[in-house]
Amino acid sequence: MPEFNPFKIAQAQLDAAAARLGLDPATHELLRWPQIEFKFTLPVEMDDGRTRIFHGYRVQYNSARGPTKGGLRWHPEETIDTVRALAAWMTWKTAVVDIPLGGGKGGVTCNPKEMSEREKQRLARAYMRAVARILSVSKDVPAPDVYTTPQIMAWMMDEYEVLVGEHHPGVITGKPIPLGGSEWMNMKSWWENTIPESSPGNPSPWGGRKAGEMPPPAGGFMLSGKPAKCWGLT
Amino acid sequence: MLGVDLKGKTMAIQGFGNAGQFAALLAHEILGLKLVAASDSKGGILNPRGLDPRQVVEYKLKKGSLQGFPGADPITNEQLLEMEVTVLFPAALENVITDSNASKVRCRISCELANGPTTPEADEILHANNVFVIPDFLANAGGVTVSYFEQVQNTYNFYWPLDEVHRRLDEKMSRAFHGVYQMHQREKVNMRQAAYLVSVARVAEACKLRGWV
Repeated sequence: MPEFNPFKIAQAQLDAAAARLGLDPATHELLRWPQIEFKFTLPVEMDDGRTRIFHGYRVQYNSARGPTKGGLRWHPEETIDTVRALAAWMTWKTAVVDIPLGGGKGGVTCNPKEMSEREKQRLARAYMRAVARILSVSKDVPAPDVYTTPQIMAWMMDEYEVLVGEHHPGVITGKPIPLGGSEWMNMKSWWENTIPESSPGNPSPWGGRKAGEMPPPAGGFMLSGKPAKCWGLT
Repeated sequence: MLGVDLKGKTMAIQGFGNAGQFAALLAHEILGLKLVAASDSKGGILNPRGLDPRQVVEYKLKKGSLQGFPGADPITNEQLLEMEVTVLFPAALENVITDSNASKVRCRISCELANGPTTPEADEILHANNVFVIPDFLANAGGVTVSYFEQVQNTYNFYWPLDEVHRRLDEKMSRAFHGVYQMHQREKVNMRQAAYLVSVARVAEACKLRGWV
């Protein structure tokens, strides 16, 4: 089996669309590659006193429609090609829902399951120090993704604000609610804060909450009790 | 649209992280789908009579995995992907439906919550077998849409009531779905290709208007 490379897949999918749309060669070639990509090393002091060097990435795939937008993945098998592919998919994603943003993605090759909270915080801050100069609400805005959390976003936002000396909550999304985030994003915090116990006989997963108190979910659903129109598959 | 009434029909969820958990609760609550199987990186659980999504989510959050969920049989990730269900949610990582297992995928709808779960070869096979794929960058675009709303509210330092977030999200996602569905019907291409045609045309137009190409 050939080695799996998601970026090759992303390019092949684009090639098919470009052929069907009759894109001119320059536009096609421009869209096949990231506009800008960053790779950097992140020295982080671990709890045992030793310093480990992590490899970090941030890809700004295309900003024609607006500031680039996309998550940060912390995964042991993260590669630049995975980040490139996901940044390309973010470009198509923001375009398909027609929001005025481009596409980007970032990541760190690491295994957060083997890291303490203190180590994660030091890595989060080291990452932000490396990318702060290429981020801003009008340039590029990260978000949580695989194995990154609202807490990690909070540390990163704080590091950014320390560096620039002002409040800029919009530089990163998926933050905890008290820092300007939305409640909808994370099941764990939602569950712990809003649904005390699942009670037998109460068929609603929302527990005893009133409809108006429900946080919006991470997807195209309405919680008004009826499906969003896009789910009218009947 | 597809002539499928989802109420009481079955669903299986591969990957039970944030997206998979929301899918289990919401698709059950809102669409009336019955959760028959779910899996995470350590393996999966199965009960053809139905699992209570609320209890499964609670168990996963408490124990960190699905293993040992009471009243369910173990199932592998591979087996789960090949189950005969109405809706399959690939919600783990990329590259899980490939040319080696696509012909055994027997769902009616594959709603991709993960990014890149299906390879291009597998896509062809699913399309030929009449599996309706809601492609990743359409199906999971609600996340970035609410991220965008968060960013807008941060910039204005003025926060919308929840109803407004719901209304705007519904509007964006519905419009996007119908745009892609129309392209799918008009151009006779699969849903992923249709989504690409819509989005690449928009990005290409912006590049041209800027004078880049």
